[in-house]
Amino acid sequence: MIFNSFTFLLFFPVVTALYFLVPHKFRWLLLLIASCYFYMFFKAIYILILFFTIIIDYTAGIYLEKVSDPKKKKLLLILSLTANIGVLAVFKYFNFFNANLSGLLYWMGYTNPIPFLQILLPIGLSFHTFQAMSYTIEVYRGHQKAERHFGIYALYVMFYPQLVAGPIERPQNLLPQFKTEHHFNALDVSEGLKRMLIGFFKKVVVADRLSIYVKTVFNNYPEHGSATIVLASLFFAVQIYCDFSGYSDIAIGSARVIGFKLMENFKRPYFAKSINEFWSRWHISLSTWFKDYVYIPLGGNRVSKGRLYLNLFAVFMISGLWHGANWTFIVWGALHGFYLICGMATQKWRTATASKLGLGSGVFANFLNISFTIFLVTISWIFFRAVSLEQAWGLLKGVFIYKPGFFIGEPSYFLYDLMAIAALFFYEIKQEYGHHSLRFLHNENWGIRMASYLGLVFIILLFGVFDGGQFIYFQF
Amino acid sequence: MKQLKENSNKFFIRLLLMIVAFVAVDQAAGMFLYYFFTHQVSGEYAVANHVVYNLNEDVLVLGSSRASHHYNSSIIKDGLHLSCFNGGRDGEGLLYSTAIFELALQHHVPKVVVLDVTSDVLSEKEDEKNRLSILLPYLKQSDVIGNMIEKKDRLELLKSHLQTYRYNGQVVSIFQHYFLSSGNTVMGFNPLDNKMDVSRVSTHTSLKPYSDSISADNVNALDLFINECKRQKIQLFVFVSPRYNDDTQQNSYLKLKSTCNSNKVVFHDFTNDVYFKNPEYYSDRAHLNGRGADLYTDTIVAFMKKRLSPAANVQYFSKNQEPLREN
Repeated sequence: MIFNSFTFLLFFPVVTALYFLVPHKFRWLLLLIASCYFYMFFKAIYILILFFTIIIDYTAGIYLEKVSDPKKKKLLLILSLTANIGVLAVFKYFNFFNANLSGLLYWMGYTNPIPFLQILLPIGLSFHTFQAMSYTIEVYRGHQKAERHFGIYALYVMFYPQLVAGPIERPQNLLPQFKTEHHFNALDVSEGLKRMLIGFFKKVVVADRLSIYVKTVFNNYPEHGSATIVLASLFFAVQIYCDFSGYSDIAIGSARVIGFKLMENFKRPYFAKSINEFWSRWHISLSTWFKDYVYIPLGGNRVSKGRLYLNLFAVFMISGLWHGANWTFIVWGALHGFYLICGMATQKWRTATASKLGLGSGVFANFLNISFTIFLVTISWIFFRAVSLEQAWGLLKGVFIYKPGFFIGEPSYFLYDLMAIAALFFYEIKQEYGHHSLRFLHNENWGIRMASYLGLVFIILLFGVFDGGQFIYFQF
Repeated sequence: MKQLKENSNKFFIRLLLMIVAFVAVDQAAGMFLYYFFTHQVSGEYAVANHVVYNLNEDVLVLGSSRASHHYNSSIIKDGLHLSCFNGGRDGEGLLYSTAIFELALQHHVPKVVVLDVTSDVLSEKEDEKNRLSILLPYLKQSDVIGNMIEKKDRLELLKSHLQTYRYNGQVVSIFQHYFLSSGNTVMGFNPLDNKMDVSRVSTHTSLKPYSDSISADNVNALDLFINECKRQKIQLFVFVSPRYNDDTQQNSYLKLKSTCNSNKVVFHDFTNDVYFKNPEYYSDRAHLNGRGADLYTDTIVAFMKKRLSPAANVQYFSKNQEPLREN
């Protein structure tokens, strides 16, 4: 089931109402059944994959706590992680590596005898696998007690609001919340609904509207001029942000309605003044996952400069691969690693030069830093959006080698795109710089608040795209 | 606990008030938008509105963008001495044409209908059903519209109870075409100005011959279309208008031909007509430009003249004295 479907608009109030009607001791069961139903809307049989990893990690968690021998503990952890990564390897990466092997063997004059798997990638596999892995790692480290209640552990992996596209939760935050009795709280409900409304706006009014223009240009890029490709790339930067942060908003909001508090996943990333800051604002639950479970175990900042750069590059390459089994994602990750390393290596020189030029701080310096960060990120998004390296290269040539012509498409749709971006910019700038004037959804006057809710609902109904399909991040 | 209960009561009262306000605003906005929608003076909906509400012409042309750009209503009018309106619409297929034809028949029965189709008209195409939402503003006109929209999604009719949803994605266009007359359609005909750049036209086709699957919905729509014409004694011409490069090796094409033949509907395919192989006549691979459209319309007028039934020909006879005979 996807959040921007009519089915979800029926599913959500029913589950929410039942949640508050059912006694606390049965609520885990209700949420688990609802989560199974939610997941099985995609491809029912794939729930077995989830159950496989749930059983493995649940058992591993209990034994990790029981066993005191560090070697045995480590072995248990490795077994659990291997099972999780094995599922990812089979369903997500097998065909990719096999295709590359085929290419290599062909180049050497051989034929690859290994057949390709005829399977679909389970929705949100990387998300719930990473969440499951964080549980066993935390139990291994002694930061989390093993969960004895199988149903509650299963719910930790399957909790429907964040099951298919995060935020990737940590057991310390989520598991205790299943055990706490949540009473109906008008504030939680209204805040949650507001958050969901903003998420729907970002997804159907901004992301899916922009996707029409982006798709038209990217799918036929040789026909388009440089200005068009630049605009489509910028539109894609906004599209992917609204698509993914919109999902997170709906996830966080729908959990909040029933009293759950999920971690924040985005903090207005396009206001970042550097790539380093960008990653502290973009997909926070994944960045912190990689920091806690890959970067720090590799030595973190307490290593030589060369090793630090190598670690950073490796983490971002893995992050790229996490997103998808395609060289375009690996290059996307590598680019970000490269940006970060360049940023760190030139930090002193850049600070000194900026000071000499009188651009050390202030509005103009911030503007330049933000613009340059957006430029770098947008270049990387071209690889993320392209279906092949060849297409990405063609698009980059389109950007940097001038070709005349500017495509608008359907004028009214183009106007919607601009209006949607303007509305988003207005909303985000208010949040970023904390202006409390012109408050709509959080106005103290109930009448203005109600008019704002209604206004937003009608904007979604009139300007949203309702057959825009799935969220981009579902494929990961 | 008492405080919690009070807060909850306040919340539900406000929620109820909001729902009431939502329904009221939705109904009012729906009526407001319906007025502007039905009074557009230009644009694709103005063409569709003419077919749905005001059609009084003898000849009606229906189909996709190829209908809209290929059939010059003035040439048909002058050539056949029958008034003509072109109701073709960009990006739309047989389901749309059938729906809009049903709406037109509620108040006017044309003598002749020209249905322009492509060789894949009966092939299964997911996006064709997705585009049926554009019929939502006509929902209350006929049950046929509801049946068509249900093909897109079972829940689409439920959503359409929201009046504003019916005008989703159209607000700017509605006001633009209400206040500003733009576009150059002449009795629905919308000629294209440019000439095709042959160097950019790919001659490659990735389609495997006869690999398409037939859409039962499209076959039913074609049957409904033909049966309505039979019932109302409308002479139907089904044409595949010229295309610079086309692949007719499709199951859809075979089914289309056999359905027309078995129903004795005049069917003619101009795809491989050598006269239209000149790239000068094209705007792009799939569309004739204005010059090509005029030549093509002259050709089909000559073709139709020879085949017009006496019922459709009544006006033609009176102006030309002598009834036409089929060669």
